[in-house]
Amino acid sequence: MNASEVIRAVRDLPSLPAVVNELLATMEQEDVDTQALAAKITRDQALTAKTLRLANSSFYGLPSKVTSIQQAVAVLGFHSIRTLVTACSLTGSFSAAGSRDFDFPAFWRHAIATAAAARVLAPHARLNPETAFTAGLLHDLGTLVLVTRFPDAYRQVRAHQRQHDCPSAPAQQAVFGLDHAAVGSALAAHWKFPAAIQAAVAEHHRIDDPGKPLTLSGLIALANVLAHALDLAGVENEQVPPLAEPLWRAFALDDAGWERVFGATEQLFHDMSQTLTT
Amino acid sequence: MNTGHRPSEISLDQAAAGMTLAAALLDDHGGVLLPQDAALTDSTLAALRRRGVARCVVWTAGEPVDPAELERARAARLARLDYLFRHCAEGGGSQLLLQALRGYRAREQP
Repeated sequence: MNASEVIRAVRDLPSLPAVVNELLATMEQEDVDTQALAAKITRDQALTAKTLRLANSSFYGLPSKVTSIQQAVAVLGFHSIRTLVTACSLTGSFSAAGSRDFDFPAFWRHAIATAAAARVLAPHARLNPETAFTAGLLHDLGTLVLVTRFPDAYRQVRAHQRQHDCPSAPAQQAVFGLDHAAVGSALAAHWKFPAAIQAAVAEHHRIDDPGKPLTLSGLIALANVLAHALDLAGVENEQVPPLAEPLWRAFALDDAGWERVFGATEQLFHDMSQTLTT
Repeated sequence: MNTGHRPSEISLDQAAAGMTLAAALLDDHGGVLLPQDAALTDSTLAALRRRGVARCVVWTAGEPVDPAELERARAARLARLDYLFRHCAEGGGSQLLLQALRGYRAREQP
C-alpha cells in the first residue's frame, strides 16, 4: 500500500449527484437561480423528504411546518437549504458494504458534531455559518475513502490505534503513508469543492499556524477539537487532539460565551443527527 | 435551571401559564421571541398564538432526584473529561478548553 495507490483510488470514486455538484458550485457564485435549483432538488424525492425533516427540526424553530423545498427556501433562505441538501446527499453517498467492523454511525456523529460546532462558532470568526457547516461535515471524508476502498488495510490502522492509543491520523500515516486530511483534500479537489472548503479539509489537523486562526481552516480545526471534547461521537476510547492556544484565544470568548457555544453545539448536533443518520 | 426537571416539546394548546420554557422560542429569522427559562403567562401565550407559534419546549417535573446520585453523576462527568484530555497535558489551548468544559459539565443537569 502506498500513497499514490490511494490517490488513484480517489480518482476512481464516482461523481456526486449532479444537483449536489451544482449546489456546491453556487457557493462561489454571485447570481444564482434558486428557483431552478429548488425544482431540481424536488426531483429527488428521498433527498427532498430528508431535507424537509431537517428544516422542520427544532433548531430552526419554525412557527409552522414547511412542506416543499420552494417554501423551505422562502422561509430559511437558499443558503440553509443548500447546506441541508448537501448534507443529506453526502451522508448517503458511501456504502458500508465490505467494512462491517468500521463504526459508520460513530463516524457520522463526529462529522455532524464538527459541522454543528463550526456553524455555531462561524459568526465569532465572521465566516458564513452554512459554509462552515458543510466544511465541518466534510472534514474527515478522507477516512471514508480509506475505509471503503481499503477495508483490510484499514483494520491495521485500527489495530495501530488500539496499540498506541493514538488518533487516526498518525495510524493512517503509518499504514498508508498519508492521512485522511491528504486523502480528503484529493477527494475535495476531485469533487470540485469550493477552494476554502478544500483548504479546510486539508488543514484541519494543522494547528501550528497561529498566524491566521480565523480562516475557515482554523475554524474547522477548532470545531473538530470541540466535537471530540464534547464527546458527541459516543466512542468509548475517544480522545481530544491538542489545541493551540492562539487558535482558542482568537475567538476571544469569556466563560459564559464558551458555555453558550457548547450548549448550542449540543442542541444542533442532536437535532441534525436524528435526521441525518437515519 | 430546574433540578430534576426535563425538557419536553408540547403543542402551544397544551402550554399553560406558569410553565417555564426549556428552550428559547425563535421567530423565522432566528430572533428570540422568548428566552430560555422564561415563565409563560396568559398574555405571552396569547401573543405567541397570534404569531402562529405551534410548539414550544417546556420544563416538566421528572422523578425526584437523590442528591448523592447527582453528585456521583457530576463526578463521573468530570472524570470522563480527564480521560478525554489524557494526551493534552502540554497544549495551552487544550488546558483552557478543559477548564471551560469543567465549569460547563459541573453545572450541567442530568
